[in-house]
Amino acid sequence: MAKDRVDAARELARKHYEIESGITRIIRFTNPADGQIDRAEPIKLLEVNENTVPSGVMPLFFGPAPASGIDYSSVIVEVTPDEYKKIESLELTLPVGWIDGEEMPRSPQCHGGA
Amino acid sequence: MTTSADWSVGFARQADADFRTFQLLQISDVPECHKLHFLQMACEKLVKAHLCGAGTEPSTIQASHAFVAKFLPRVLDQYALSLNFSNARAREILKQTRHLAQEVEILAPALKRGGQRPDNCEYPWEDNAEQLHVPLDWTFPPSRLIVERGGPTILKLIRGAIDSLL
Repeated sequence: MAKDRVDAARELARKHYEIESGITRIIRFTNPADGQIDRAEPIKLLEVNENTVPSGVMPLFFGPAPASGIDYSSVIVEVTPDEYKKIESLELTLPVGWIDGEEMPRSPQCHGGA
Repeated sequence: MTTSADWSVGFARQADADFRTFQLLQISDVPECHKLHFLQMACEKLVKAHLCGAGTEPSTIQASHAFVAKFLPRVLDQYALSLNFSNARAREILKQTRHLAQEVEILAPALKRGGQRPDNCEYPWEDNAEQLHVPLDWTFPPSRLIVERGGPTILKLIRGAIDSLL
């Protein structure tokens, strides 16, 4: 994965923690083939949000936001804490290609939206 | 004879295809106005699916785009309740759907809110200073609203409400 895409993923995660106080975890997923096969591969984030509606694994696609410093499109899977437990127990499965997960912790300075 | 249930599923299937297209376009270089055009159509058909399912005569709603602002929040409220999503944060998000629904509705060129909002995602328009604007160059509020706090949850409610009719 290109460094600029890693930075963009971190920035996107930081912004999401900042605007949504209910997000407790963000995990960035990559496919080892990302960047080698398809440079247009979107950033993939699994977000655990206490304030969202249960929906199972429902990937949502978002376009790039260059004005906000995000030059890549993204796919967000936003789940409730209960749904996240089901992902951990393999009762729910993530989309194909979501292979290697890396925790993107909330920074201590970031308390989230009001 | 075509029943109201048939009409409802027909509109829901089209809403499903429109929403999927909106999502596919998100990861393409297609201009924002085209992406949002599909979101507007998906929301309109979701609402019309509900109206037909409740017995509204399809011929009375087919030609109009003026249903999203009034009925999309109700449809999403109802769907959220069916999921028991009704705490304080849910109520806040559902309030946000009213704002998004108003902005999505006026993406249709026929709706200008008394001439105050000629911006739309299909045709060029002239503002009060006689300056021409083209949708390709315009930044539309729904693009911001869907990524703000609660935005992804609203999209999940729209997606789920469509699925619930199929």
